[in-house]
Amino acid sequence: MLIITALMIAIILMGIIVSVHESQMLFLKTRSLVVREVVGAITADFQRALAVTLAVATRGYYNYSRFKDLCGKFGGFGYTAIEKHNFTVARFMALTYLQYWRETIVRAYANYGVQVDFEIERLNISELIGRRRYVYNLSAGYWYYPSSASVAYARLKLNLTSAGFYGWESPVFAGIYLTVQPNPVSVTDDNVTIRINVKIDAGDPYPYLLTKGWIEVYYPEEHNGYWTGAWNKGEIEDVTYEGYGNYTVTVSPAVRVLTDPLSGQQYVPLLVVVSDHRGILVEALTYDKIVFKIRKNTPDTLEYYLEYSIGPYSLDRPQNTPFEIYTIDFSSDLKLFWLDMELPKDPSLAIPPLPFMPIKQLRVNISYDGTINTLRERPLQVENWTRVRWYDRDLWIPYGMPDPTIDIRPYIQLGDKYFATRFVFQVPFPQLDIREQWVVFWWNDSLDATPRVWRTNINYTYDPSHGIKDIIVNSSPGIRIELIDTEHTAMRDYVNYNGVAAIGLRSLSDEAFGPWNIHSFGDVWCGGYHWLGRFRPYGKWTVLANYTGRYSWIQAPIRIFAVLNTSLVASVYSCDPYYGNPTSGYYSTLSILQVINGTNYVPLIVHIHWQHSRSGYSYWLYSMMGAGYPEKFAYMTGWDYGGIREDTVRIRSYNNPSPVDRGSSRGCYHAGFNSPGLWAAHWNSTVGRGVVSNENFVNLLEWSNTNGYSPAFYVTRCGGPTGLQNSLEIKFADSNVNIDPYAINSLLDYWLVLTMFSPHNLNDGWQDLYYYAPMFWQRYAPEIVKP
Amino acid sequence: MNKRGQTRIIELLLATVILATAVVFSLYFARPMRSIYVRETSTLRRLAYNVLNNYAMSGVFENIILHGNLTGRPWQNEMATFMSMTLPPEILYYLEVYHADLRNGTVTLRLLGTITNISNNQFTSFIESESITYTYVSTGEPDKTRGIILVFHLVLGFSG
Repeated sequence: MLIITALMIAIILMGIIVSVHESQMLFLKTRSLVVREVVGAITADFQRALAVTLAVATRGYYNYSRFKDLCGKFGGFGYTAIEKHNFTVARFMALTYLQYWRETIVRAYANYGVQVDFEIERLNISELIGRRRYVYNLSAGYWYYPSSASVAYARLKLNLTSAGFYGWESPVFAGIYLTVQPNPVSVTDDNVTIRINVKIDAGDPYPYLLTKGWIEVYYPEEHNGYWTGAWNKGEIEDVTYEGYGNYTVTVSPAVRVLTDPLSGQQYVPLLVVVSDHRGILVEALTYDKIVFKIRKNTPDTLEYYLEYSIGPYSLDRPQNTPFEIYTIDFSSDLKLFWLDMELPKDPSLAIPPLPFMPIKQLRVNISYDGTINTLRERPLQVENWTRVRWYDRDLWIPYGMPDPTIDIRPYIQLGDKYFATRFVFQVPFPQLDIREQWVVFWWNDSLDATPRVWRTNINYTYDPSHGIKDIIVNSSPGIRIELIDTEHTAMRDYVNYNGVAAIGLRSLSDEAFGPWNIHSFGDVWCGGYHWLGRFRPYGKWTVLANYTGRYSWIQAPIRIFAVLNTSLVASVYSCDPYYGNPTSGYYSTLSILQVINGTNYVPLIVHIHWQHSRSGYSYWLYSMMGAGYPEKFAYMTGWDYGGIREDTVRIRSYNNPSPVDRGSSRGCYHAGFNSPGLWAAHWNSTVGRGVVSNENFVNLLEWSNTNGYSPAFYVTRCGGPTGLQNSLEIKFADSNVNIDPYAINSLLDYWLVLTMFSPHNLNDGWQDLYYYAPMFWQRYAPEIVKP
Repeated sequence: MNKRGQTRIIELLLATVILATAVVFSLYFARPMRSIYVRETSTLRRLAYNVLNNYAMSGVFENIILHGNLTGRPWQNEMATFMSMTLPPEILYYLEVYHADLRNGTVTLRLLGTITNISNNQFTSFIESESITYTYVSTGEPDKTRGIILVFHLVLGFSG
């Protein structure tokens, strides 16, 4: 009985088990196939979608216009040409595109009940790139170094609800890694061979560079034996795949091998761009910085003569020289400038080009004590300059501050105009025994880099409703520079020049010291008086104080320019028919005023071109008012005159300027002195100002002297709202003068540097200006040397 | 009494052996009854994915479909020829190609064309078939086509 029961149960059990098992097998076999294939297809497609977004971002970043066919299509997602160097916008574009992709997937695989999402995680690529770098936010690019990468990364999450499949997660990578060996494999007379390594995605070697991807190698353009800063595309003669992503690439022409002074690494300056088959692009360079040194050439001891004594005397410059700060321009065409001169460069120093990258990536480190221990990042300013044909001469003029997101263009030649970008930095020599300072230009490798914003004490304020057009140096010594011109005609609490351009000097508390007149010619009888300095430049100061584009809110951290470019002149005397009524036919003026942060000097570069021959009485090169504040004045002679030797310091008191060479020394005197030279200064016991000129200026005055036009240094006692003036003036001619443009125009290029100082005592206050004056002389200009 | 007890024990042992044998036998014979059918359609599915994957990896979609759409070349004929060369001769196929149009925050699937080797769309000639869906983000050259999303519906089957 029991056996029969067992048999029955066994038969039923067999039936049930067979049935259930068959169903299970069928389900599993069918489902696993669907899941496997669908998951595989969607994951692969997600990687392709990531790759596309990275291709757009990297191609656009490298050269949007070249890859416009691709990048232009993503303009609808916010990625336009203007935003090409904004990786945040590129990332937003990528996220928008991936949203579309998700929707497509959900719709395409609707019958599987697909739920797809992705999570953005941090990816550590430090091992692949050789320095500490991460992909934080979907995608990242680290370029311009010997080891560079473009990477996108996300974790894909997938459910196939219809197949009962949940919780699939997969890390998905799309990227390319390029490592360029700085030291070449070989260099011949005709070519150079380098080794590179290319990996993709999670670090897989990429063997398809030649068949599916591409490589471009650029070398520094050379002209007359010098690198111009531009990159030319090299001709790839041979590429050999050595396995594991390694290639040797032979490129012509040959490029000389340099040595990085800091690391000792030899490198051949090349720029390499690689793209994989999906269009993801990466740019690498064989070097990651440009290193040189600035050597100052100012003497430790200054010589001078004094009146009524034999001399020469020596003046030891103090050990601490906090104001010996050079504001140097490193041009994108690899030249360096100080004031209006190109600096001499050690012939053995080869400066390689800056990378092909946006301006915002660039940084500069400068030492403070002459050693690499104090190499720190310092302020950097970027400016657009152009060299133009201005009448009979080639001149450099700043014309703006660029959009920091645009690419560095080494130079652009358009007809007779030449454009370059200048990177301005300041090199301090705070002590006498520090003769050289390190300068290291380097670049931020992250495509997410933004321009550095530096604190500054200079700012420009334009408020016509309150009569303000001022550049303010809010430091010690501080000053307000009021720009007087056609759009701001009246200096506050002072004169109304009715369109004549001048520079108003004011204290930080807005007290007027009076105008600094930059040029004036001739005289006029009107209103019953005889007025000098009749024809003065008439025009508008154009101020360059802010970057343009997206970062226009960033103010110039190092210097603010005011540029006056006019061919008109007018009078400042209200009785004169030329008051507010400009005329041409006299001289054209191109003046560049630089107000510089952290220094005590304000350079004014002056170019004058006489349009026609003219005759007149008296001709000023400048006059600087004092509002009665200075008590003493001095100047240095420019050449031997009578019994007075060149480089004689002649010191006087405004109370009694006697003896004088010209004019009177009594009452409201206008007293003149012969042989004006490289500087003039006036001061009281607490504050002093002066003007240091360059050698061109003295040459001009000497020429005047040779031609009998009586150049002179003058002071004027009275004038202005305070009644007392106590000015500094330099006259090209203190007499009738015939202007012959052919003879004089070539001499009318000079600079004047307004210098502020704190006198250590009233009697010898001039020495505090003289300590720094050689900085501005061409013969003592700094030079660029090899470390 | 003792004898009767022994008989029960022997019966119990025999019943256990019978039950165990039944379970073992049922497990032994428990295989899908329609295994031939499953194998054949899964092969078709696998083939369909393999074909499209291979096309994707070798740039066929860019070179034929997208390039054809850009230039006006008869891409459907080219694709049909290509598929006929790739697939075994006894396989029938029917491929619909859609372009995912991404605009104004929505995705519209726009039919670019169909490719088939079934004469006059005689779908009754399929005796066994499998259909798959496949999406493809274009990544290859030319730049103009990068980022385009294609959606494929592919039906493969055996002909009658």
